[in-house]
Amino acid sequence: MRAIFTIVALVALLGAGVLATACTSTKADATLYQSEWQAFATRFILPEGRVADTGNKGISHSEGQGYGMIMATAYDDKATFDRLWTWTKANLQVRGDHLFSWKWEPGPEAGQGKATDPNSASDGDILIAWGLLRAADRWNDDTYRQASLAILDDIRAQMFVDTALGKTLLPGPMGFVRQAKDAPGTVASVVINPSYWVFPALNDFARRHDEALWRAVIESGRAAITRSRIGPMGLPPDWAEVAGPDVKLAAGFETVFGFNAIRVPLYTIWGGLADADALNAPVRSWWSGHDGAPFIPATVDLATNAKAPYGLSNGGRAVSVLTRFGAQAQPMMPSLGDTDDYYSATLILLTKIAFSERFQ
Amino acid sequence: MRSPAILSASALAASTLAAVLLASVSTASLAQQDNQYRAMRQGVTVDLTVERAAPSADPMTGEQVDISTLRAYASRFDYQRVDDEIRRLKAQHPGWTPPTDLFAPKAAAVDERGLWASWERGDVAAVDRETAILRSLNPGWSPPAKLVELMEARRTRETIASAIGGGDWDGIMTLAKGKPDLFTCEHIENLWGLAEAQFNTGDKAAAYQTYGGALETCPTADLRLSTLQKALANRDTPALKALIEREQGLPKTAAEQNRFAGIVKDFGGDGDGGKGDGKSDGKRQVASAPDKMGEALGRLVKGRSDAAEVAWIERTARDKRETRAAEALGWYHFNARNWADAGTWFQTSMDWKPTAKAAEGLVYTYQKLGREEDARALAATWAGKVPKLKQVLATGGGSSRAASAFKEGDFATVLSLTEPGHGAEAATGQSLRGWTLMKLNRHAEAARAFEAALKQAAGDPAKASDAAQGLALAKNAQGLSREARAVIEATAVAPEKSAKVEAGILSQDALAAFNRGAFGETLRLIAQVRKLTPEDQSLAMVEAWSLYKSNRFAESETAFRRLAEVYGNSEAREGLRLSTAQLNRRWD
Repeated sequence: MRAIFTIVALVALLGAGVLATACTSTKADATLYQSEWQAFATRFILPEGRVADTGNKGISHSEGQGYGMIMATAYDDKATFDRLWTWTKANLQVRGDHLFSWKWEPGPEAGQGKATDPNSASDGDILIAWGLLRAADRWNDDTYRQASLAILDDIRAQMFVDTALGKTLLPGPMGFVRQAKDAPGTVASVVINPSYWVFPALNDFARRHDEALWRAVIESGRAAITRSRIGPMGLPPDWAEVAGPDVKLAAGFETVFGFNAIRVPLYTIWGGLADADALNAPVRSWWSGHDGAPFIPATVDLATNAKAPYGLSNGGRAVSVLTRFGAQAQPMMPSLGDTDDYYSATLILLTKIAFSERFQ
Repeated sequence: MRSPAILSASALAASTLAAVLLASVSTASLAQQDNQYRAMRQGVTVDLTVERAAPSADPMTGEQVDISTLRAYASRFDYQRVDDEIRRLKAQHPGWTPPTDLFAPKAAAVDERGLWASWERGDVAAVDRETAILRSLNPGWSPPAKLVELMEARRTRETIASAIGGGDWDGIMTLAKGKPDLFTCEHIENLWGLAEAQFNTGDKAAAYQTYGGALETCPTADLRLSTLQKALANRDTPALKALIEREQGLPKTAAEQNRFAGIVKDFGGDGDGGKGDGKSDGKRQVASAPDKMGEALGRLVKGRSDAAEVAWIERTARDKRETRAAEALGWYHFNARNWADAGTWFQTSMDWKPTAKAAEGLVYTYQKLGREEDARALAATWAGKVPKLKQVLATGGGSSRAASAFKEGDFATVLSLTEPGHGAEAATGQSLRGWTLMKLNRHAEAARAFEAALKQAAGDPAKASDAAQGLALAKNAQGLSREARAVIEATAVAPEKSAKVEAGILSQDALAAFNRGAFGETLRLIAQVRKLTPEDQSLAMVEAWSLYKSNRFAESETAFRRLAEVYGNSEAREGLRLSTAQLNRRWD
């Protein structure tokens, strides 16, 4: 386990180290380019260490901070990692526990921005905790590990509920457990987001934190994917609702396979789930069914089967290429360009990191 | 901060120079590989910055390091080659570090046109709102200095106007001390306000010093005569006489001469008090009273009344229940965008005596106030006499608040009213939201809004066509020309609208062809664009470079010469120089 990680780290390090060395030998890592990370950092990470969602009024969220931290570890950029973590700690870890306010909005003037929703999002919390754990290993720094474990303790305490799926991950501590109308106090249903199960992170958590818990969470994630196959194509929904033994589209939420759920195949592959191929079969056949078409619709409504009249972003295409072609995906991967917004750019880089950590 | 070399209009063309520079240093196989790479990317884009590599120096040897190739690769997001080139340069120049701005976002992309449009409409509040939005979208951006200065002056003027209205003379004098720059001939209203304040606090000498200063420094007879008219209202006979005498000898047009004669005449009424008798003075006053309101209203509708005069008109209108004054005041406040005051005066005018003009004004004011029901009810009553009001009846209801906010350029309000899931206007206003986001260059969000609008428009071909056009333009603006085309093909977009979208798509294709090095194809596509839309400078520049790259130097020379003459653009001059050099070389 440790040995495998060292090899992965070494590979990534070689990729990252190319700027520092004057060697002209063949590159060990064909997918991770330091300059692509520089392009991401220049465009989306502000000097104070805040990842700005350029498609969304320049706001920041715990998810973006977590993604930035994970990328910084993959590209061996400790200085940027520290800026990201320092800002995140100071501005989002403000709830009184170790979890993070999910949303931060800039004010009209510099210095007036603040966290505008104290609720936390479990994917943001998980991503930040994983970024810290990766940093602890890469740079051999125990303070990162301690910070990560404190977050994991609070996730354990606040983010789980038992459902028909098993130990089920809530999207956030508040607002996702629905009470029965006729019997207040009893759980009628639970809203879930299948793309919040970040499998590669959950693997590492099982190794470093509460093994039994995180193994159970991985299982509930697999169940969430297999049991929320809704609509004729069986695609995973962005949001689902577990009510008793049933899993259905979540009332009051978007009913699409869209910007959220596109991460489901990415995480199953990145997490190295043994049955990733089977879990992703519906998504793969949906995407491959568009060969020859002008584009793959970015979203499809699982209730009405209505398809978006526009195609996947470059980031979405990166995930589709990885999902369909696995170890052969590399030559087809799009690169970060100047039309990509924060989310598209993030998916491009995450996909390349997943590829390098899984197939190289 | 914008680099002087980066201007949105010429930026596109500038990138072509980078491409040409690159072509001259790269090998054929390298270019071919690059084409493969680009072909895999959806929505091929071109860099918008001028990549004239500022040479960086090797710290060990002080030698210049040529990074033009590095910048060219970076401009095309070819990360593998950027990494390779950095490695090569580091090997050649140990200790050299790559520039940090290789992938700097394009500051020139901040679209300030909306700000200026709001300023020109006189909507200071909208300028403030849009500035806040642009700031939040573009960290590090600050509004144009000229606009800040104009806004500052405008605010001071408004403060002074309201101080005059409220008789806050000390406030004006304090302002003048704090911001002397704003009390010059360039901001003459401020000077007049200051003089009035000085006069009303009993310091007539200071007031006339201010008037005199204005007369000395203001370059035009028009401003000087207006100043004298102001002084007439704050009369200090001997001092005013001196000012009038000074003005006497200065050059004027015939019309100005007439105006001056009028001022002298008005001054004469009291100034030559020795000659006149009480009787004739009394006559003049009686005769001039009705005229005074007429003249004042004449100035009011032309926007030439100062705050004191407006206050006088308001007072007199109330005292004498003057319907025409009330109505004129309604329009005055309407034009000044003081909707509440406009409503009060139109209503007052209607109360005294209902007229079609006042009714019309009141309907529009209700609309501005978001009182759609009242507007429709009143329009229904008056539509027989004012046919224009039928339009209000036809278009009223629905997303009118958002629609009028859009017309005013108040984009923040449109966005908040149409935020998905928030209220009635969100359900019908997604198309409007889309156009607003397009104006703010938030193309990805615009696409989402138009997509929602398409869903809302089911069964309404006109609305669907509008939403589809927006969606296609939004997609195209993101460089997704294929998706844009798919939208057009899937939805019935009205022909005149689809021409615009088609031109945009063809332009993208032309740029993509140019980037691939398919210059013949580029020329063919640009010829098609030209059939659909008026000339676009950027595309014309790409065309000129395509001619150059196709070795059609005589034509490229002509094209660049024309561009240099029309737009005076340095990129065109560079192309002209190169083309001429190529032509001359043939004869060497």
